[in-house]
Amino acid sequence: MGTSFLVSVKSLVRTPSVIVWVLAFPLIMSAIFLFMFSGMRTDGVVDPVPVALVAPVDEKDDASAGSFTQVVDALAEPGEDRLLDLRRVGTADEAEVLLASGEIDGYFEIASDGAPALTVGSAYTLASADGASAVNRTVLETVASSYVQSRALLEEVAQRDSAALADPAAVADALGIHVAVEQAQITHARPEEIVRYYYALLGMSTLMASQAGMLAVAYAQPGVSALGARRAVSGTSRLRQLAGCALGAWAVSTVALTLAFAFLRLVAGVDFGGREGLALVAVAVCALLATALGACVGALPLSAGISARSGILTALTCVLSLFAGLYGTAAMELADNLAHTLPWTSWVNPTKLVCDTFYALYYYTSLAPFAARLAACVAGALALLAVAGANFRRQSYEHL
Amino acid sequence: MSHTQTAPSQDVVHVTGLVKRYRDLVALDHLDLSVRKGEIFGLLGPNGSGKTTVINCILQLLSYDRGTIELFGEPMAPNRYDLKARVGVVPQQVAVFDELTVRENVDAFCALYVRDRRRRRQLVDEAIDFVGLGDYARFRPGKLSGGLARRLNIACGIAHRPELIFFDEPTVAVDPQSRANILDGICRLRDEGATVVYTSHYMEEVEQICGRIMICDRGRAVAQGTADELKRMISLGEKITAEVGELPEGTLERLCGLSHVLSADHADGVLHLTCEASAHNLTDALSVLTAAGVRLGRVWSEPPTLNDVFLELCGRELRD
Repeated sequence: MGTSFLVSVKSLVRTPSVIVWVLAFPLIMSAIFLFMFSGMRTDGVVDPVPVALVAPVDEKDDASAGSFTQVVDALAEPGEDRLLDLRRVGTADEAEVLLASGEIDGYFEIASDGAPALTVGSAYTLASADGASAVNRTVLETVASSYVQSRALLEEVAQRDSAALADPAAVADALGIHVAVEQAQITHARPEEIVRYYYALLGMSTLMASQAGMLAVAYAQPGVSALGARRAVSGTSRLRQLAGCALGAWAVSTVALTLAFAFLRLVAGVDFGGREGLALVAVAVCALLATALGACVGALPLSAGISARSGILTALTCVLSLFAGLYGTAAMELADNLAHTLPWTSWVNPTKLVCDTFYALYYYTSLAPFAARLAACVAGALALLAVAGANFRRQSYEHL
Repeated sequence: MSHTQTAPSQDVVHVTGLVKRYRDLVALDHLDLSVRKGEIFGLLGPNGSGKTTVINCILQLLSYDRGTIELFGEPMAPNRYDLKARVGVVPQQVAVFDELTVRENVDAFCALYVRDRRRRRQLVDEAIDFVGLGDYARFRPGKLSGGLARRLNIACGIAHRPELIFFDEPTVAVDPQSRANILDGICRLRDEGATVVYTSHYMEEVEQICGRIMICDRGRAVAQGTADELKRMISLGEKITAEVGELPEGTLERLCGLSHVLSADHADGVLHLTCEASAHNLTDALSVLTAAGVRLGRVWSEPPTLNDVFLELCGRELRD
């Protein structure tokens, strides 16, 4: 069996189709995904909104104007939460020049009663603006309106109970300052949308790796090739040969998928929730499932040759990947709907099962869902290997 | 190379009443076959006559409808790995791993029979030397010529030193030098104690190396024996050829009228006579020609070849 294993490994790693589909395919697709999703990752960062403040020379003497100035100054302070890129101008005309040149998205003027007025460009409407500009306008409007609302609230408090303003806690209460948004972590890792695509790719790549199992087993089948016939009449039992072939294919698949995993983690920066060690275990178990699927197709008692069996596996991989949500948003929705309406399909679709194994590792704090899926992978692999063994151990054929 | 000994009186292969049907087509029709220890047994037959089918049935690769098969005196069955381990197979097609080198290929097949790595290394070296592929040990099959690939095919089948070796048309599409090399190798295997079953439709090869020959056609054993025994089975006993130029009228008829003459044909100044076995065929024919005033050029007489036997027993119609 040891030599069958080595022969299987040597012949597989020197087979061009294995190199392409099992090793190169996941790396190429990962690189494509990396390029595609590079924009999505930077979209989450908000750049400071360029804005001007028309600040009269004597503003410091004006208590009302000074309050708003303090607010925007605070929002323009350097730091991770910097919201505004503030420029001070002396007059509205200067601000208009900057606005016309596109250097700023708007400017604030402070009225005599201390209320800020926001001006944006005349052609600058929500309908015509791109997404980023619309966000910038919303930010500026929110700054101005929040200030006006808070100011009105404080004035009302001052009229009803002026003593309350002496208590900073009461003021904070009134302004709702302490009501911050609290980030609640309900998943093991902070969810990233693109992770779904990478995990689906990992699922598809795993199934592609089943080609190795198919080739290793099919070339030992008498009905498929003269080489298989020659091996079948040897002094080594069929099951021993199957074990060697399958183990070799598993080793090759595991190494190839580990390289793909390393690329995803180290180059594409895909998050595995800090559980890389367990992810490698998942890679090995998923490779076993893929090998078993390939072995099952390779041992099918058909008169089909290698190409036909390869076609069966490729078609199977592509169809099952659809239900794992690999092909974009629509496929994702289809996969989600299927998982909700027919949950058992997630356990019998190898691509989905592989995806879910990595999801379980990524999302759940508990390792129980991960372990359940690993167990399902092993059970599926054993069932497929049993079918492969039943077909493979056949010795005499009606035709060759 | 040395080989394990079996009981001297036993047939190494003993097949009786073998029947194999593909639906309505009878591929093997109550075929009997015995191969004695230490001989090269030739299986001759046209395409589709059942040569490869009988080998595949013996090796249990094909199921069969009726009959018994014994190897080394024991009933053969699909799970008789102990018997299979004593058999080597050189299939008609070059059946090796395209991705492995010559040495890796021989080792891969040898490992299906021999577990001990050290002993295997020695056997692989010997097999590679035996077929003369030492200079190509690191080559992959795709880099080998047709003849070298055939030799690799042989090395993969004999490396584990089998007692019984099946060669299924091993010289198809190889040049004369490679063919001679392969045939010499098979004789050496026989000399070293192996029993060989050799299938071919190259008559001269079979006549050259096989001790006993079976001619099969349409799944039946048409004749069996040594080459001389087979030749005696047919009516043709002698072929006479003479360069005669023009033949006077009536000469051809007089030649045909001679006793033992089966046929007479004259074309392009050359006379061909086929005769039954007789001691006076040539002198009788020369007497007729001399009496007719024919000026003779070269004249020669030949015994029948295996090819003549084959064509007489299997007919001349084309096969698939």
